[in-house]
Amino acid sequence: MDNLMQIAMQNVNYGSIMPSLVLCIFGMALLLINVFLPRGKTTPASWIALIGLVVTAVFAARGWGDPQFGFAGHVALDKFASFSNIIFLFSAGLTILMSDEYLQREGYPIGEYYPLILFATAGAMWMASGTDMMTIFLGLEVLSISLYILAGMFRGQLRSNEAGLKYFLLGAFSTGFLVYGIALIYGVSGTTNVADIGMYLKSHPAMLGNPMTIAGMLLISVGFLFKIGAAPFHMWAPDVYQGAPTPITAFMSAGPKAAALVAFVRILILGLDGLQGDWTSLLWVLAVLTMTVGNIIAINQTNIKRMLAYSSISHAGYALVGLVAANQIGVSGILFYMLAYTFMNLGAFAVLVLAGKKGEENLTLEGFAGFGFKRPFLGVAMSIFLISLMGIPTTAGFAGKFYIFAGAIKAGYIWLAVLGVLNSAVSLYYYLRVMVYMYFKEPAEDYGWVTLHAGAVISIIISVVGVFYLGLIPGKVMEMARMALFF
Amino acid sequence: MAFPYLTLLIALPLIGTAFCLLFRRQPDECRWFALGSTLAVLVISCWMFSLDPDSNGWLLREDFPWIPSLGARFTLAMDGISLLMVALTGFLQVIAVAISWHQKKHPALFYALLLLLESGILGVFLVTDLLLFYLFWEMMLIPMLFLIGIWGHGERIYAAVKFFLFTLGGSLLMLLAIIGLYLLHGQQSGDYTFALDALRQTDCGAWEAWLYAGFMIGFLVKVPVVPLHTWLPDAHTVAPAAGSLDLAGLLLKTGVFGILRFAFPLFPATAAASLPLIAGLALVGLFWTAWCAYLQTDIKRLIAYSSVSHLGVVMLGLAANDEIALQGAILLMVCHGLTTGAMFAMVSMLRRRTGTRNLAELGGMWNEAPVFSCFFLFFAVASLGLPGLANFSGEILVFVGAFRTMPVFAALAVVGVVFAAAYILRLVQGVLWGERPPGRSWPDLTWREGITLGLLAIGTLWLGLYPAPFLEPLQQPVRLLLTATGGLP
Amino acid sequence: MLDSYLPIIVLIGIAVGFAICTTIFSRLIGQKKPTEVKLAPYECGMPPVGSARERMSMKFYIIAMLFIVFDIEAVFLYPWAVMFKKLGLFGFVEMGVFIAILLVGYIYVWKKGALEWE
Repeated sequence: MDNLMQIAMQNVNYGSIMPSLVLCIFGMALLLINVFLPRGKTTPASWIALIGLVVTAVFAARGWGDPQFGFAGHVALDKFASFSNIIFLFSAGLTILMSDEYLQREGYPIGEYYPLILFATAGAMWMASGTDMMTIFLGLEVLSISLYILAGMFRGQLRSNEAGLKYFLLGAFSTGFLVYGIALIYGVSGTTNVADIGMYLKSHPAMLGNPMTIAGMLLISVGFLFKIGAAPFHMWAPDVYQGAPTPITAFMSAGPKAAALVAFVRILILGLDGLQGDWTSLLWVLAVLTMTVGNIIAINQTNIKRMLAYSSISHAGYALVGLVAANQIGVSGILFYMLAYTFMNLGAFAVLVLAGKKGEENLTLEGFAGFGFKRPFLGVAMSIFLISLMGIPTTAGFAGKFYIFAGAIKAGYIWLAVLGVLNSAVSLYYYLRVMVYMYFKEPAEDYGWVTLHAGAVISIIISVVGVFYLGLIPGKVMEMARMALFF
Repeated sequence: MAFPYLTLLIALPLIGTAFCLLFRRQPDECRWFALGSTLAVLVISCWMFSLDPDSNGWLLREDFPWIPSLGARFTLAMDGISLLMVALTGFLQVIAVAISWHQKKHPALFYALLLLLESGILGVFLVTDLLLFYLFWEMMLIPMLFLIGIWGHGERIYAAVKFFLFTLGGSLLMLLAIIGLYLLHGQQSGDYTFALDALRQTDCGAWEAWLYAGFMIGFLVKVPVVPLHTWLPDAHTVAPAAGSLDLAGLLLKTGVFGILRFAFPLFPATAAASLPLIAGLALVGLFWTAWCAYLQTDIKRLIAYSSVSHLGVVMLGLAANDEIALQGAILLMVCHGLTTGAMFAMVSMLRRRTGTRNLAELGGMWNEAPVFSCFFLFFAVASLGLPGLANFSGEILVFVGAFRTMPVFAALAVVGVVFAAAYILRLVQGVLWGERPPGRSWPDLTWREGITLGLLAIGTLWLGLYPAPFLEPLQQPVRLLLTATGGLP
Repeated sequence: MLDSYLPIIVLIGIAVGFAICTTIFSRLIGQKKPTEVKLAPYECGMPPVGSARERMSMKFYIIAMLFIVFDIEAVFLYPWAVMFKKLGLFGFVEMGVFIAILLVGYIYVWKKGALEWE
């Protein structure tokens, strides 16, 4: 029985889960602090949450120079996880910055909001550093359950209720697929460790053609594609994105999506490497479908929040292109792209947060008529984010797309790259239309005074800096994304 | 290390942009910022005429690391062709600021965008790194979009969006070609780079035609060549005066310049094979747009079509693959920039006085505003190619050169010039002569407008009478280019 | 291989036997005074006839959820108690962390008033 003790002691390495541990401690402390704060007072909570993120960032960054492994190969804080963690932290931080005034305005100053974001981020971190299917699944659940609550946070709003319930029901359903897939793969290989699965399949090539392996791969893909919001599992996205509180929408479209992508990358490339032929052909089709569906439906939207929701689907499609390429440029392109997308999308949402009035009925194209001249700072910022989302050079969006499409071309998927570029061309139209309304149309109504709240303004400024930094001198971050790869 | 003059050239307008945005509540200061930075660019580019080229034809070269992981570098280089283009940009931008001196609507933003546009154009003329080139190429689009969309007249939104989608759609294909070429070269040599000189060594094999097509579509939309030209008349019709000036005088030239700097040297064999096709398109465009110009009643649209027609002659000069023709084509670009720019400037002056651009509602200008009319006549005949004025010197070189290599095309093109006489004379007749519509009085030029047009007129005369100083820096680059495409005997 | 299932079969046998025995013996030796309520099907104390769409108070759900959370705690504590000596200090600290997390939850629900019925 002594070896039980040994197992327990040897494999524990708190260093490997330090970032998420810190986040959880902060989250729990915040929960307690909240119940002792007077009702409706959430500002101190937001600051504590931000401090928590900064402290976490220090620990997450430590994994870059000094990779940590622990818990019997269940958790690895390697460069890959470290880079992903930074993406999550940025998306959580920008979200928290823009949230406080928003919650006050909408009349839901709920203290649990911030701890839930921290828990969701911790879940995302487990997904990124999980090297075992079970760890990844655990992370996914922590992330998802926090998001279900956050999406339905505005209890009195029908849309928010719908968002929460829809996301919960469909999310739970898709999780079932994922678990079933994990079970099947476990049945084939006898392990849930991602690297061991890869090794097993390498040494037993006969099992590659086994229907159980294929079915397991497909079911796992369904689970992740749902979380990513890829077509044809994207149906939940527009309603949830539109109904959820705006900062949460921003968060969902960046951080958790990146988490699902990086975990998917690890499982596919490390664990199911042998099936690459199968999953690339599957993802090829789905990537094209996702880009096209997202873009084409976005064209028709008049609500900007919903338009960004559909555009978020199409951006998931671009990211999948990198996964299809499955080479160095492509996969590091995913990391880079998700970071870039975090800045440009959260920035755009921060503008929406500031521009909206209570109930956010005015976030339509008509409501944005003449916005650029009435609110010069927000107008310029929004234009920068839209230009970046279009993928026009000097911005992060271009550098990201360049990287991903270069990966696809290098892997020989010329047509995929062509379709991706054509899709970018389609997307120009609806992003451009927002700019057309902002600058070229006469203002339809008299705008109320928009107070430029410090938090949201800071998040806009950070995003603008991020967009230009990644767009003009992307070299350093690109190099880091390449070093982050585990293969 | 030498002082980075080229970077300075690109940075000057950007600094102006920043100042204009910072002082957006003081439009008077913004005007001077704009004029100051454009003048500085002009002065520096004039000084650059005194430089001597090295053996590869470069007058200046600058090279800084940019994105090391991709092998992209911040490489700027200037040869004789880019020198002319940069000087033209500097000159026309000063004029653009001058003719929009009394911009009322959002003046600070207007100047800021105008300067941002200049920076992008200068960048395109100076880079030799393909990724950086693409960056500047797209950087020109956004300011132009806003210039048309915010300050345009009439159907400005439609025109702005059309302009944007056309040119960006074309350049996306170019982007794919750039990536393809980059990877192809990297796989062959192991050296992943965007440097023009290195990429010229690439053996593209079966891909060459596709890559060349990708580049050419991006450039031909910009030139524009029939049938990709439909965005241009719309954009010109609605654009503000300075926007039209930049569009016709500079943006179109970036297309031709791109072909000379990138498409031809990168794929010389395919380029040589495609020359008859280009010549054919150029000729069709020449006639078609001349005919369109003749039918217009809106004088601005008429000049816009004439612009496409002139670019047809330029493209013919490119297609002729002959030393004299190519020099002529480049010279014609400069001349066209001056004369068409002047025409657009005068149309906007006319519009400010009369409130209309409709030929039917104009007339009798000669008696009302003699100074204006003199200038109008001067630039009009310069535009149709009267000997001694700017366009003639360019056109005659193109035709002389083209007769040596493709006589049939050249002969047909000369006929096209007669068309030009037809629509220009119709324009002159409609505006200057005839009866003045009753109840209107049209004041003559102000001193500021007079100086602006006077400067353009001096340039036009100089280019027409003594183009040698402008042809001299072209000798070596043109020879180098033709060596690649096999155009030298 | 099948031998290992023997205890289960025995257990099933005993369970079934017990049920059969009690039914038979209560029929044989028990008193019989049937009333309407006694003859009605057993529904855990709910009236068997009436609308099935009854609204339950939210409080029941909250209590049920809290019950599960703190009940599961015991399930984890039990095996740890069995292995307490082997796991030593490390196990003790780990379990302390576990209880602390639950304690945070407990304070939270307490302060939120989830434990109060009214």
